Amino acid sequence: MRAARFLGAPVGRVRPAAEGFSRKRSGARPGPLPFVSSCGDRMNGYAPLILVVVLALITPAMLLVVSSLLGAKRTERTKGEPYECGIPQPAPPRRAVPVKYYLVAVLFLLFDVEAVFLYPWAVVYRRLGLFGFVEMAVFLAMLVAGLVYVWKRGALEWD
Amino acid sequence: MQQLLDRFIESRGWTGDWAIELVYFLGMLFFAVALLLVVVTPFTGIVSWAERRIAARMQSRVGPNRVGPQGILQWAADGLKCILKEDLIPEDADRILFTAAPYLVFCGLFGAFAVLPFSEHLVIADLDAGAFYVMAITSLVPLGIIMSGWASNNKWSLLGGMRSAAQIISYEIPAALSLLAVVLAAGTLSLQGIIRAQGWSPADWFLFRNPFLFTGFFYFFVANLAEGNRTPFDLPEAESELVAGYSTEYSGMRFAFFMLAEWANLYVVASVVNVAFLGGWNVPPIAEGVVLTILQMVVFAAKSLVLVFVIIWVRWTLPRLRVDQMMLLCWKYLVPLSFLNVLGTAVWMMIVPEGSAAGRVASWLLVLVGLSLSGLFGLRVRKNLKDADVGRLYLNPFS
Repeated sequence: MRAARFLGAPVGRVRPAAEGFSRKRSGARPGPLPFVSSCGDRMNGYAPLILVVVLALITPAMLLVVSSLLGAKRTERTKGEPYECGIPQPAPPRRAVPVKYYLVAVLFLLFDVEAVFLYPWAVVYRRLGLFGFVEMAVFLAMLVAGLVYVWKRGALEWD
Repeated sequence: MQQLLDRFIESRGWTGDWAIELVYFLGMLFFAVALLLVVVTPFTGIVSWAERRIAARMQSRVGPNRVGPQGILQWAADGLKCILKEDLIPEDADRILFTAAPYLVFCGLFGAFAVLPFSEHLVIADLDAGAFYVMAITSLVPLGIIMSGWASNNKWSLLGGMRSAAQIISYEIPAALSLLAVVLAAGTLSLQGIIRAQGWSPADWFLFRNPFLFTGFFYFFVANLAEGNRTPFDLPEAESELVAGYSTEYSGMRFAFFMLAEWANLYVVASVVNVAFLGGWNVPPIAEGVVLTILQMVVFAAKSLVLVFVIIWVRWTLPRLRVDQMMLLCWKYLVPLSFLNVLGTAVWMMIVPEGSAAGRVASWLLVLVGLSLSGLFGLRVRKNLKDADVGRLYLNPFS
C-alpha cells in the first residue's frame, strides 16, 4: 500500500506484492520466480531451507578442494592400511553385526513413529477438549502396553 | 526477516516482481552465508577453545593459551592446520560412503541452524513445523556416523558407528516425547511460537509451567546430551576403548568436519532446550526497535551459553556409562517417564487452566523449588571443595 503511494501510483491499482506490507502473514503469491514465490510465506517457508542445505553441501566441498590444493600429498603404501597400531589387521572388520542393534532399530521405529503420531494431537489438544484427551489416553495406554510387553520379553536387556 | 526485507524494498521503491523476488532470494542467501560465517564457524571454534580451557581449569592444567590472547585464536590455527593436512582415504574403504559421510553430518547440523531463532525477527525460516524439522534434520547425523563407521574398513570405526546409531536412535524417543509435552503446552510446532507462548519471567517459562514439564526438562536435556554423543554418553568415540570411534580413519579436513559438527551440536542442543523450556528471547518490555532486538539476542545467547557451559561442565565431571547402563537408562527410565510426562501435562492442562491463579501459584512454587535445588547444589559443591582442600591445588587459569 505504502510502496504504491511512494511511487506516486494510483491507490486503486495496488499490487499484491505491495499489499504484503500491511498483511502480516501473507499467503503464497504467484510470481515469475517459482522458487521463492512457492515457499508460501516467502521468508517463513521452505525455500530458505533448500538454500541452507545447498550451502551446507557447498561449503565442505569448497574447503576440501582448498585442502586438496594446499595439503601435503605423499603417498605411501602403509598409509592406506587400516589403523591398527602398525600391525596387520587381524580379520576383516565388516562382519555380521549383533542382532541386538537390529532390535533397537525396530523398537525405535515403533516408538518414534508413534511419537510422531502424537504431535498433531498435541498441536490441536486445546480445541479437542476431553474427547481428544480420552482418545490419546487410549492410544498412549496401547503404546505403554507395547513397552511393557517388550520389557517382559527381555528385548530391553542389552547383554 | 521478512519485515526487514520488506522495509528495504519499500525504502528503495522497487515494485517489480522480479526485483522483489531477487531481493528476497539475495536476502536469504546473505543471511544464510552470514549465519555460517558469523555464527556457526566462530562459535564452534571458540567453544572448542573454551571447552579445552574449562577442562584444563577443572583438572588443574593450563590448556591452550598461546595463539592470541589467552589462546582464543587456537581454533583458527587448528582449522588452518587441518586444511594443510593430507586427505587420506584408506585403501579398502568404501570411497563413496567414506567421502559422503562428513557432508551428511555437516548438513544435518548446519541445517538445524536455519530454524533456530536469535531474536523475535532474526531467524532464517520460522517454519510451522520447526520442532519437527530440527528433529528430522539432526537425524542425518547418525546416518553420516554409521556410514563413516561402515565405510572405514576398521573395526574401531564400525563399533563406534554401530554404538552411536543405537544410542542416538534410542534417545530420540525420550527427546521426542519430552518435546511433545512442550508442544502440548504451547499448542504449536513453530519454535518462535513456542517462545511466544512463554514469557520473560521465570514463572512464565515452560520449565516452571507444571511439575511434569519441570521434570521433562531434565529428561530432554539428558536425552540431548546422549544424542550429541557427549559424556557421560560418549561411548561412540570412547577414546580409551575405541581409539577415536567412527572418526578413526579420518584425517585432515574431513576429520575437522566431524569435530565441527560435534561443537556446533552443542549450540543446537543448548538453543533447542532454551527455546523449549527457558523462554528463549523473551525480555521485559523495557525497550523497542533495534534496542529490543539486541536485548533479545543478548538474552537468548546468554541462556544458550550458560547451557553450553553446563554441558561442558558435565562432560568433565562425570565418568562414562557402560553400554548396557546407557540403554537401560533410556528404555527403562526415560521412555516410561516421558510417557508419564505427556499424560501428566495433558491432565494438568485440563485441570488447571492457563493463566488461572492456581497455575500462577504452582509456577512460582516450582520456581522456588528450582531455586532451592540449585541453592542446595551450591552448598554441596562448597562443602566438597572445602573438604577436598582445593586451595592447595589451585592454579591460576589466566597465567
